[in-house]
Amino acid sequence: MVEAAANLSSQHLISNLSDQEIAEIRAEAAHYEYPQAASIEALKIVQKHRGWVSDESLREVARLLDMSAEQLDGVATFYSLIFRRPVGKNTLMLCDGITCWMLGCEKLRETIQHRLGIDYGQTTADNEFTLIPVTCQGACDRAPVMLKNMRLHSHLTPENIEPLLKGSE
Amino acid sequence: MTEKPLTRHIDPSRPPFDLAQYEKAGGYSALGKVIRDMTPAACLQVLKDSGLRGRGGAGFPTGMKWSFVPMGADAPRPKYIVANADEMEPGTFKDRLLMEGCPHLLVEGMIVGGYILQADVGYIFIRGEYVEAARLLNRAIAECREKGFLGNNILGGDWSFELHVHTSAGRYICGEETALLNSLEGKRATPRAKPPFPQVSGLWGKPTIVNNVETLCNLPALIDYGAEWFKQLSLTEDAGTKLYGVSGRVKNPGCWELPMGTPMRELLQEYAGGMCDGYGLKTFLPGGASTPLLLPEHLDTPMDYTHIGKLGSRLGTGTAIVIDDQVDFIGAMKNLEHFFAQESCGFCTPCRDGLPWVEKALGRLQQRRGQRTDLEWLQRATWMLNMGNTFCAHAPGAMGPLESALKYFPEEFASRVVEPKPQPGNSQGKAAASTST
Amino acid sequence: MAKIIVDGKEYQVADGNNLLHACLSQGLNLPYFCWHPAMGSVGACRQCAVKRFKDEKDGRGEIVMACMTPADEGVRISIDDPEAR
Repeated sequence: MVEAAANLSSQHLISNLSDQEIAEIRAEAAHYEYPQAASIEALKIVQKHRGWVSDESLREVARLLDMSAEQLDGVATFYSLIFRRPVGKNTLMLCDGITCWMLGCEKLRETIQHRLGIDYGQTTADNEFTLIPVTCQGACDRAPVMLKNMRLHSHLTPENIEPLLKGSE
Repeated sequence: MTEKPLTRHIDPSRPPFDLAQYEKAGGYSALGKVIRDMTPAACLQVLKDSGLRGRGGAGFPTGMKWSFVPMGADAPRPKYIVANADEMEPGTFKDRLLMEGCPHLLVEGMIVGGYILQADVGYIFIRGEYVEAARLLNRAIAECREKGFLGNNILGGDWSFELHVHTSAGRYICGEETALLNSLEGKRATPRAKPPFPQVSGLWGKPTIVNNVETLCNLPALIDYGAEWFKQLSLTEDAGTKLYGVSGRVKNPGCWELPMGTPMRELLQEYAGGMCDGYGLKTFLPGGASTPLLLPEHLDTPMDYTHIGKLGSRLGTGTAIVIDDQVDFIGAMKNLEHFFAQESCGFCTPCRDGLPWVEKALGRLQQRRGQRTDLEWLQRATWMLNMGNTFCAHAPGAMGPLESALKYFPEEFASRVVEPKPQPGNSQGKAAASTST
Repeated sequence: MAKIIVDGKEYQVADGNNLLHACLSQGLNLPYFCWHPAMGSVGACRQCAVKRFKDEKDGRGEIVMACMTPADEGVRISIDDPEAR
């Protein structure tokens, strides 16, 4: 804990992260013996505020946690919920787990493709939506499901998914 | 006494209990009991006597696992206890129910477990998508901190303990206990070599216990009512209750706490309401995507570690996935193997390279463009990617359903093979050799 | 020194090495990729698989990675076994 605090005091070097972001990262880092352990949560904090993790943010978080940028990028690119490229205002995460697949997630994908013109990994031209496949969401009793901006929507059909494709909630 | 140690306080029609409500319903009595009346050794003995086995999938006896943690004044410090709440096994939706339905139960289980191990810090490692569960757990932890159930000198004793929620960011492999520890240290979640086992050298090289949410949620009632009570909850030799689930084309998919050893027929017919009209049962995965398939003839087998193990499958997480007779069976297999290929951590070669090959072969078969060589590769993969040949149990888990599918439904695979048209220069002898294998 | 048995033949090898190092030092041909004496063992490439037997009666054996297995006194392995190759 003492070590973590000492490393975080080097924050005067940080130029671009907001005070809010630094405070949140610091609070997470206090939970661990070493600041590096907060790397995933730190990246998520940056992502929460900025939508994604740019090279610049990555370098600054790395410095804050006493890691090399390369080390942190290894972490950032490993975890599927960390975005290293910009995403749209709304992220649609369609569950492609086995139960959702059997109960028709491909039809939902087609509906989204048809309605928004995007497939997995793509963002609409107006920057409103990004579509991403996600693994089983642990809601198989309510399949098929989708996360919109991390909120779970269940028992979806090509019809009742329509309102979710109309901009922010 | 209760027959439902895990779900007695869960009622989906109302918000989960806060600390006051949970205490009023008898919550945190186990915490009081262990700190005031029991030594850690006495608690561990209860755990051993109960026959509780890990609910995350492997079914290792919990008491035995915990007995490897160094105890006493000269044990290395700090010691850690970690709840594996990275519920990512496809088809599994039981830990979500526990954490969203009664977060204080897991928190109490963690504190009681922490006391038994004389741990200093606990982490709840929860998958990033379980936003609501993480919020509820953080609130429960804050309530406990205020009440003095967490922090220094808990309930006036000489034991101190802190508990934190760690939210992850995807990747199935984080559920493997040593990969989870790497992830908790802020690294890429690649598994570690065993030995040393985490009980001796885990998080930052310190003694660490990692257990599934459901396992830890059993602790409060186990301490309250004892090992004999726990054993008699079960219908078979494997003790306790189990959260069973059924999903797929059934009328009433869901998750229920039932006596360990409840047969699948009862789960399917009585609880899940039977198959949807017009659909028949073809096969099922008894406990998540990595458990080998079982057939309708296995429906009456008790769903416990021992009996399902004897059928060549595993109880896994106990949440069954029903595959009906109308679904594209090879497509379903491809969906499963796509998952495993995508979720391979990439550390060891057979898993990283082999699983995408498996997925591609299944993809060709699904599109009826498959060749005999694809079938041969799938057969070969079931031993090349199996236990011992890979670094961890990820690829062997992926081979479980595939191997059983090839065994039970060879015609499904064979019917998707198209014989290549004989091409000029392709000798007769060669063609004959490839079809004879 | 430790005595190890490879495909029925005895070899005297230095103490404290892993089986891969020990086999290579005896001129035995065992493929490897991710191991390096200066970098240690990681067990990632899975090329140096050998079959280890409990004793002379054990006919089944189990696949282990030579780089991850210590060359202890009396270890009995096969590098020619079809499953290990």
